[in-house]
Amino acid sequence: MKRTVTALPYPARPEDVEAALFVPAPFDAEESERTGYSRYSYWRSTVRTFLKSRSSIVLLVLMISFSVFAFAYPLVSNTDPNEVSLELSDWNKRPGPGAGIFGTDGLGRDIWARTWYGTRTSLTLGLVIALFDVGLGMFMGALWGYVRGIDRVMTEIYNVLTNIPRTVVLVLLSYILQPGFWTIVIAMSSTGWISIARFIRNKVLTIRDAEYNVASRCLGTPLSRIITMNILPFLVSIVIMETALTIPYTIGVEVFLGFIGLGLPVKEVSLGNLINLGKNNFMLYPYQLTAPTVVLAVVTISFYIVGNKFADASDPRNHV
Amino acid sequence: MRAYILKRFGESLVTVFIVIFAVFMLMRFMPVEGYFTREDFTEMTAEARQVYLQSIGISGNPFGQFGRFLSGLAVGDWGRSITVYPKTPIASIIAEKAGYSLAFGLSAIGISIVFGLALGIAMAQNKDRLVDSLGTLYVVVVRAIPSLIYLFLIQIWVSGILGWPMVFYADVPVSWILPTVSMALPGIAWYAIWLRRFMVDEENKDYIKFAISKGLPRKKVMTGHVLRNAAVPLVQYLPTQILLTIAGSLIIESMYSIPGLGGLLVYAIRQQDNPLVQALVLLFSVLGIFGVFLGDILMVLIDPRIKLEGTSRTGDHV
Amino acid sequence: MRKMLLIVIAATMALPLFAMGNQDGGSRTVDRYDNTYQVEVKTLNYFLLLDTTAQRVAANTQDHLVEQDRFGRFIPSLAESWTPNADSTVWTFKLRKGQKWVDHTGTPTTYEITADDFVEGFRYVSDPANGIRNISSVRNVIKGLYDYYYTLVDIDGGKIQDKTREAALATFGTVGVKALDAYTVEYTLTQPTPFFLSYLIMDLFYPVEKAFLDAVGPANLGIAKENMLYSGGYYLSDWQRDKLIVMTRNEHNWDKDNITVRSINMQKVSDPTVELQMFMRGELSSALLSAEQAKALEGSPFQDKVYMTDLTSVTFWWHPNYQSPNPEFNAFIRNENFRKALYYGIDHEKFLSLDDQVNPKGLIRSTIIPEDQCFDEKGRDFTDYPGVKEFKDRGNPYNPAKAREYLAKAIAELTDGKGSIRGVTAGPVDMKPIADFSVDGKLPIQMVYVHTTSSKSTTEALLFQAMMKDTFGDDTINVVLGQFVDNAYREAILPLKYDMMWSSFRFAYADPMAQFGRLVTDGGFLNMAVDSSKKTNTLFDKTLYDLVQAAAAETVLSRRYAAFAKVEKHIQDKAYIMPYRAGGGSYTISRMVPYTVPRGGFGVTRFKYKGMIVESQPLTAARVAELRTAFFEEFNKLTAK
Repeated sequence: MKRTVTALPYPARPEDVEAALFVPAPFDAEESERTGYSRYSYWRSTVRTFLKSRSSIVLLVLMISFSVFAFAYPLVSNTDPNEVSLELSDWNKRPGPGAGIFGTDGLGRDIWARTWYGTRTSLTLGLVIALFDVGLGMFMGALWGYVRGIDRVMTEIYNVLTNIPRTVVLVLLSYILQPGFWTIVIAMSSTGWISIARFIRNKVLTIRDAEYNVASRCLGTPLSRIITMNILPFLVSIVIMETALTIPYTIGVEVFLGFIGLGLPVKEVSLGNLINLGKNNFMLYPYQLTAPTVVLAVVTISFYIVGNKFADASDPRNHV
Repeated sequence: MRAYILKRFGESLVTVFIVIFAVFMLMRFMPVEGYFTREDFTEMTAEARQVYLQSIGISGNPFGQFGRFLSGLAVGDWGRSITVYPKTPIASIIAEKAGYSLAFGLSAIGISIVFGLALGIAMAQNKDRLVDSLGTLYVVVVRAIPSLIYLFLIQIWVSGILGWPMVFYADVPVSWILPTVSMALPGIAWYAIWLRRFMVDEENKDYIKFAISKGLPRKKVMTGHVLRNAAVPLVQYLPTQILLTIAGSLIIESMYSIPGLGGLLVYAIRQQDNPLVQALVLLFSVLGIFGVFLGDILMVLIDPRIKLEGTSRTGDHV
Repeated sequence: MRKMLLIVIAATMALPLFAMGNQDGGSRTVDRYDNTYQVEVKTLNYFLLLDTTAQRVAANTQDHLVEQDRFGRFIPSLAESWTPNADSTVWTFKLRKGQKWVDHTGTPTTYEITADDFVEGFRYVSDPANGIRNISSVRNVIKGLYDYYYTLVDIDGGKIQDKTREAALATFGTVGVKALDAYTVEYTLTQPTPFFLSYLIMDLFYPVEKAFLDAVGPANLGIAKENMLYSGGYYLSDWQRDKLIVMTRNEHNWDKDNITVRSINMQKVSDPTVELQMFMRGELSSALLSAEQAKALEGSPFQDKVYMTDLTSVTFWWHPNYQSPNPEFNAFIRNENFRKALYYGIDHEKFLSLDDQVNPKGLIRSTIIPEDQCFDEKGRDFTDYPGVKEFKDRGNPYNPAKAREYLAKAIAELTDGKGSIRGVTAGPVDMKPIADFSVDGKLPIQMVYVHTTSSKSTTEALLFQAMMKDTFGDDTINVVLGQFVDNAYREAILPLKYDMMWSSFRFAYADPMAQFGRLVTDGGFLNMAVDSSKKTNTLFDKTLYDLVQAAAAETVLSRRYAAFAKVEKHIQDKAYIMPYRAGGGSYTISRMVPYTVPRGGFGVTRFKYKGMIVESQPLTAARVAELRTAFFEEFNKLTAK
């Protein structure tokens, strides 16, 4: 039986029909990509969803301008936030001309300057801690998710770390080391990373076996591409969210440590130091507490809401 | 089931053991001068100091000391405080204080569940309206601003406006209100925001749409399906929360002069009262770990979707 | 539901109205005193008073053989009468008969307070195993005590092997405290001590009922209200840790008619802001105020009610570390010119402005021994002796020009002229966790000032730092701030992790030895110095040591004081320590009538509430001033006699 397989305008027989329909197509990377392609871009959608809410925009602007100002103020201002006055008349001056925008504290130090230096310290602290938490958490989490063998050990570490009260770690470390910036960083990060690690581990498990990734793999998408297009955007959004949420949390922890006497040393101006000092004089000079509190509230609330809104926006289910 | 419980129990014991051993070793890094008073130190010879340190379990072989601590526990001896309340049996200190923390903590949990769930439902049903915005504002303020600030303002202002006492008096019931409410504030926010999100998510699900289109009254769908499902993850955390109320709240107890356990652990660390620190860490970690254990078992019992094989301690609850 | 809520709210709003209802116009006497304490007491063992709260409780729930009246005169208490022998070395006390110990419900027990109880009390404090710290102040006073005590210490420390502890305890008979009969106690002293009565009001001389002590166990004394019996005007009716201490009048006390207030309620409140608020709302009988709080009351209804308390015998002094791990400071503090530079360089008046902005000068005390406490047989005050008087009159020594001059001399003596300090090598200094820094062996001199993390203490530290910078400039002295959290002794002084700090010292008994003894003799701060090159201990200053020994041996008061005046002058001339403030002198607002309670600079007297009158309204400052004038008129009349 001799068959011609080329250029038959019409199938002559049923066998020929089948043969023509099911010719195996050669693999074409470009073509395969096109099947899974839509105009959807993760980042563009995230940003668009985020910007849909007007309050998010306002808070984002507030958050950025306050942060920028906190970092820029020490560069442009020549007021020394630690300058103690030996003139009694300079002490506890209410806000007004000659006393600075927020007045002065019990030693004549300028509260406006101290507030912005303090905001800078607290933001830096939050950023550093977030960096450690997220960095270590992501690395360990990925490992935890991929290497099945260490699951038991990691689970045990998780149980231990979540069961040692964080205050215990903070207080113990403040004693063993010295109350200070890096002590707080170490104390917070030594327990903070584990919850992120577990979160990542769970995500790794679900993402790895998620249908769309299985599909990608079946379509022959290279691993590097799956990682950059499907997994990484998701993780980057976690990083941003965690960082945004860690800042209000860290500020809270620092205020708490000041309350129990283990805050940052005096020479470091921080919001925690300011709040605790202001609190002691609250009935007498309420502005010493309220003024820094207003700045603190704007910072923490804007970071908190922006962080949450961003988390919502980065969830593809909300991308419609 | 029994095998599962036994296995989980064994795992919990291991965790407790590691936690207390870790804290025990950390305490060893504290400066030894802390264990003396000024006169002690000057009057004692170097050898006498060493003998003293050994006797309170600070120097010498750490494993031996740790073993002694455990064997003491085994016969019900919690030891005595050395610097916080010198010579006082630790068991009696805890017995004296735990009641206050428990009473305030449990009332606060009660309030946060009732008000938190009510607020959450109100917010979900009025999504994107005024109630929702006000509720969100409350949640954001409570969760973003350091609690010390608003708790302090509540103590000073609210007590002044209402004419209530500023500190807790055991025999003046009115003085119990502010600390309890203060303690419940974060809980209310937590339950409210969680329930709101849960309800909004759930409402879009097919089975709810189906139930409503089938003609079931909305109210019935909410109570019979949505809230019931909402109870599942709640139940998982409740045991831990309830058990750990005994640990108290440092800030609120110190503000309102409530003699609970809240600040005791921190204070004991600061005073380097090792036996007390170890006893408290032991107590809190046992309760915490036992709470997780109970929570998991409760989950298995109330949620038919969960099967034993599928439950692991690192399940997908986040 | 809403109705219920309304009722609850209405009821609670009405509550304060009831409280207010009583406060009509005129002030009347009330029989309840409410005040606060900040830090929980460690123990209420009345032989071991570690803080003022414990002192307040002990002073009121236990009686001594003698006590002081409101003019500070010694009057009978549990002893009806006493007689010293001719040279004041043997003191015999006759006890009141029929006095019963009461328990924590105020019920008399079957135990009578007898002479044996005083002997047993002293036996308890003399045993080092009971850890009674203050014993060092009488170790050389009571005959036989030194040997008895140190034999036990050596047995416990393993230095004496051939004697058992029991055998040593059995020799308590050699100690000079004896019960001659059920109602007679006799103390035998090592040398003539005319001021012995002032020792007797210390915590070491309380009685204890032996049978009861044995029943509860010596280690358990004072850890719960049930674990003590009470011999004083009050009994401890309630004690909840971290919450409250309640003392109720003992209706069976020999002096119950003079116990005017029925109950003393002490509450733990850690925040001074809350304390003031509580006072303003009528929840407290008195409150101490900071200078800032006092100022803030200007213009409020309480403005005319703020007054300042009298100064006490407590003295505050600057306290340099002579064994500092910081080599730069260590090199300089041993130099007299440097110490004088500090002496003249600290503006005490400015520093005290933090406590009193109106008249900070009024708080200054520039002598180590307080005025109005030690009088010789002719009634002359120790601080008026030549050598002491010049310092008393000096007041604030602040003189920046002089300070800079002394500093320049010190720098010339200790550096090579180019800013390098001789014999100091660069390197890190081990003061962790208080401070973390390194020295470079060059000017400026690093000096660590330590302080607590409280806002008051932090403010002081910053002011000190600014003052030093103002006087000396920052190229010669650089003040490093170091913080400790709770306890200066444990965290800074013991491990020697400080260069400069202030300390306050109470005056234990009516003799200059009370302060000089603790400074210069065994274990005192000016007793030993470490020679860092040889790592050996040498006497800190032999001349000073000899001066103290010589003065302590004098038994005629005027000669004794003259000898101690030399000690004071020596310490001050060398500027070893720098006294700067008297205790007390804090703003207060109170419903308690001042000058109604016992008065005295030592022991537990100033903590006694016997005779106290509490009113329903705060006293005005004007009335307090009148009371003060009247009191001192009477007081001066009495002392002039």
